[in-house]
Amino acid sequence: MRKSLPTALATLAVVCLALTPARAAQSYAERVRQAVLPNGLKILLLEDHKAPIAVLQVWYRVGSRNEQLGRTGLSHLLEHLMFKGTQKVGPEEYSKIIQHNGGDDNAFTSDDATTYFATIASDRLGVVIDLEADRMQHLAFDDAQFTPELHVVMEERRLRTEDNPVSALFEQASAVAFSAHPYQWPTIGWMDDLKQATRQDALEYYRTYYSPGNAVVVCVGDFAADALLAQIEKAFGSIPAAAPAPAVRAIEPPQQGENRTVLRRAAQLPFVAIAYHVPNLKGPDAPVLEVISAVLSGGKSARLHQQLVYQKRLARDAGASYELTTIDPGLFILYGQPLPGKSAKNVEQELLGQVERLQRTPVDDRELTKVRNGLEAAFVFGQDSLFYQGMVLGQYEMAGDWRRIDTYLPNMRAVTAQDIMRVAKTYFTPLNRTVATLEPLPSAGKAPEPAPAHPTGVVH
Amino acid sequence: MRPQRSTARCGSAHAGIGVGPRRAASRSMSWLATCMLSAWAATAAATPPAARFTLSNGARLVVSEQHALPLVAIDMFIDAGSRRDPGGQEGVAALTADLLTEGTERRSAEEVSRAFDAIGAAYSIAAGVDFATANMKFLSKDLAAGLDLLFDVLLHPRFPEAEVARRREATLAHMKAEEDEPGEVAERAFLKAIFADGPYGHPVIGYPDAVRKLTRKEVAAFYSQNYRPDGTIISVVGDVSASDIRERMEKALRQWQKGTAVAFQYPPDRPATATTVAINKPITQANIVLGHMGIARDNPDYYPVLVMNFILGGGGFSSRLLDNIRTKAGLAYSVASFFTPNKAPGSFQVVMQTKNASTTDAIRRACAEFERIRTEAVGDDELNDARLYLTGSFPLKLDSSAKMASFLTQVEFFNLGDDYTDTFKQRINAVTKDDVRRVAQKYLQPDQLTLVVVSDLSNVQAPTAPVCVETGSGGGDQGTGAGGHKPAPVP
Repeated sequence: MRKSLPTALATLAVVCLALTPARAAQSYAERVRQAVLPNGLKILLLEDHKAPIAVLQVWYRVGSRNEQLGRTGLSHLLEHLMFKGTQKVGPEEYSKIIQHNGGDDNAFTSDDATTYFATIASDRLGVVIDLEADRMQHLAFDDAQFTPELHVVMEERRLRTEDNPVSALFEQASAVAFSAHPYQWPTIGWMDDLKQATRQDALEYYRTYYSPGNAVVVCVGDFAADALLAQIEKAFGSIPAAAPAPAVRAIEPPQQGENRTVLRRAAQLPFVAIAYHVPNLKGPDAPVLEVISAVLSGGKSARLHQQLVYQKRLARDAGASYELTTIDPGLFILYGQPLPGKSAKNVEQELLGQVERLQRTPVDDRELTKVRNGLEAAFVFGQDSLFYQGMVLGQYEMAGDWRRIDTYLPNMRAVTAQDIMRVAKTYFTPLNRTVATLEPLPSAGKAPEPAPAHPTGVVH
Repeated sequence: MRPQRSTARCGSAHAGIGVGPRRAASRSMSWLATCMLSAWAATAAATPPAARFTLSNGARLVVSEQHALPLVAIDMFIDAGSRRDPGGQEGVAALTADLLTEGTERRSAEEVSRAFDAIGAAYSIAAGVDFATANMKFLSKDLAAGLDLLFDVLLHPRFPEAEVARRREATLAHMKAEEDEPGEVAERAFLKAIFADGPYGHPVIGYPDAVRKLTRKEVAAFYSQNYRPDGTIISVVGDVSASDIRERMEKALRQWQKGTAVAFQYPPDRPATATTVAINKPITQANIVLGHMGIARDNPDYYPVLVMNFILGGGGFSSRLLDNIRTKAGLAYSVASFFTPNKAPGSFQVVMQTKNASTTDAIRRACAEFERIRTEAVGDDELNDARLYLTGSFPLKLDSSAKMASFLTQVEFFNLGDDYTDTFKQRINAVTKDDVRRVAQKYLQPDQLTLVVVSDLSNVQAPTAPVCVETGSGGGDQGTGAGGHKPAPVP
C-alpha cells in the first residue's frame, strides 16, 4: 500500500523528537526503577499496565563506533551470530523458544549499541531473562554456522546498500564527512571487510564487549518491578564481572573547509544531502537543533516540504535529520530528491536558501507553537508503545544517562527564535558542510530483454 | 528517506528495503515491526471490548474506550480501493485518496497541512486494493478539532485543478523513484502476471500512462461514486466515551448520504498459467517472487492455511524456507511466504533476494519445500509451535491504540464477530497435520507457479516455466537442506 512520503516523514520526525511528558503526571526519574548489580549490569524497569505484555531489551555498549578499518561490520555480524546458540541452546533455537511462548524477538545494531529484544506475555518474561543471561556468557558456534551467516550479512548489505542508490549516497556522505571518527563507516560494514571476517574475529569481539558491565537490561510492561528485579538478579547476578571494554578515543577535529562528493551510478533520479557537524545532547545547543529539525521537516506544513515540494515543485521529497542521542557528536543532514527534469543543483541551492532563512529571519510565534504542539503530542503517542518507551530509555542511557529524558521537553520549550538564528549561524557554515550528490548514470543498454509480459515502464 | 545507520537481523522481512534513520530510532521500529509479524498478523488479536453502532446513514461505528493515555486513534475503511479503478484510469483511487488533504471547501491545501500539524496529529489517507484507509491520531483534548478536520477532508474535498496537477506529477515521480526498488518492480510484475486485467492486477498507484491522463473530472467522479457511508467502517479507540463519539459522528456525518454504487462484483478467477517474467536491472541481487493465486479471507480453509504457511515460510526463523535458504545455505537475508487474504482471492507469494549467481539454487530450494509440505506430514513439534505462536502472540498485535483501531475495523470488515479472540484460538487449535497437508496440496500448485526475477540478466539466466520441475541444470546447489528433491507430478 502506498503511503504518501510527506506523511511518513512527518510521523518519523515527530516520533524521533518526542521525549518528555506534556501532561504525564510523573517524570521518567519517578517511574523508572534503576538497579546496578555488583558485576556491573545496569537494570532499568518501567511498569506499564495497559496490557498483559512486556518488552525486554538488552543493550550492549558496542556498535560500529567500536570497530576499526579493515574490520568494520563486526558488531552487526556478531548480532547475527548471537542467535547461533550456546552450550545449552541450539542454533536458531532462541527465536523458536520465544515464538513457542507466543513472543516476538529480534535485534538491531547501530553506530553506538547492539540491542536484543523480545516482546512477550509478561508472565513469560522469565524465559527471555534466562535466554539472555545464558547468551551473555556462553555463546558457541562453529564454522558450519558462521559461514552461512556471514553470507546472510553480505546479502543484507546487497539488499540495503549495494542495490539502493540513495542508501549508498548516505553511506558515502558519512564516509566523507568524518575523517578521524568511526562514524565514517557504515554499521553493516564495508563489503571487503565482511569478506575477510573470521569466526575468531567474532568470538574475540564477543569476549571483549559482551559482559555485564557493558550491558543494560531495559524492561517495560505489565510486571511488578520488585519481583522482576529479583528474577533478573538471579539470572544475571552470577555472571562474573569482566575487564572494562576498551574506550573509543577518536575525536573528530573541526572541519576546515567544504567537502563535496559525487556518487555516479545507475539510478532513476538524483539526490542531494547536505551534512553539518553538530553537537549531540551533551551540548547546550542540542534542543535548539531539535527544534530546527522540526521547523524544517516536522510535517507536511514544515518548511522544506512547503517550499521545495509544494511551492517551488523542485523536489519529490525533502527533509532534515538530526539525532540527539549519539555517544559522540554526529551530523545534521538536509536532503532532497529532485522531481524528474529538475536538477540536484537547484535542490541544493534551495536547501541552502532555507538554511540562510533560518540564519536571517526569526521564526515567528505561530510556527514555534506549532512545533511545540507536535512534540508534545508525539510524546504521548510514544507512551502508547512499550517498545518505543524501552527504545528511548536505552538510547538515552547509551548516550550517557537515561535521566536526561526528563530535561528534554523543558529544554525544548525554552528554545527561542533568537537561539535558532544563533545556532543556525554557528553550525550551518560553508566550512562545516559536506555536500553529497547522487548523479544517475544513464542506464546503458545492457543485456537483451528476454521477458514476456510485464507492466509498462519497468524494463531497463 | 533518511540516512541509515542501523541494521538488523530481521528474518521474514519483506519490507525494510528503504532508507532508515541514521541510527536505531523510529524507522527501525516500523520495519522491525514488519519483520516480526507474519503477513497475516493484523487479524490476530484479543478482541478489545467495543461498542458497535450503525449510524443513520448506514456507516458502521466501533468504539473502544481506553483511558490509560489522553489520545484518540481513528481507523476508517471506505469502499474506494483500487479494485474500483475503471479500465484506463488505473491509479484514480490512489490519486483521489491523496487529494483529499489537498484542499476542501473551507481550507486550502496549505491550511489543511497546517491544521493537522497545529494539533500534532499523525495521519494517513491512502487507497488499498479493497478499500481506502484513513487513519489519524491526536490528543483527546483536540477531539473536536481532530474530528472536524478529518471529516472536512473526507466529506468536503475540492480537488482544485492545480493540486490535481501537483499530485499527478508527484505520483509519476514516485513511480520513477520506485523503479530503483527492485522488490517493488518484482511485486508489480508478479501481480500483473497472475491477475492480468482483473481488479487486483494493477498497482494501487496506477500505470504512468493512465495517471498522466487523470484530471479533476475523473477524480471527482471517482469520489462521488465511491466515497459513501454504506460500506464505511469507522473505529475509534482511546480516551473517549462511546456515546459521545456516536453523537458526534451522527452530527458530523448527517449530510453524508448513501450512494448508488452497486456491490462490487469480482470477475471469475481466470485459469492460472505458469509464466516467467525476467526484468533486467544493473543490480547485485536477484529479487525473486514465486507464487500464484491464493485465497479469499472468507475461505473456510483460512485457518489451516495460516498454520501451513507459518510452517512453510510465514513463521520467520521457525519457518522451513528461512531455515533452508537463509540459515543453512546463507543465500538470502530475507525469505518469506505469505497469502494475501483479500475480499476476493489474493495472491500466494514467496519473496526473497539473493546474489545473482545463486538465483537457481534459491528457487530450487523453495520448490523442494513446496514439495515437502505437500507430500510429507509436518512434525508434531512444528504443528504445536505454530499453534502456540499464532494463539499466544494475540495480545502483541494489539499493543497500541492505532493497532487496536485497525484490528477492530478488520474484524468488522470481514465479519469476524466480537468473539473473534475465542473463535480464532479454537480454529487454530483445531488444525491437524492432515489439514496442513490437505491445504498444502490444495493451495500450493508447483506446476502453476509464476516466477518473477528482477536481476542483472547479463550475469544470470532466469529459469523458465514451469519453475518447479527438475531440469538437471544445477545452480550451485550446496547440498544442504532439501535441494535436489524430485517433484512429483501434480494432480
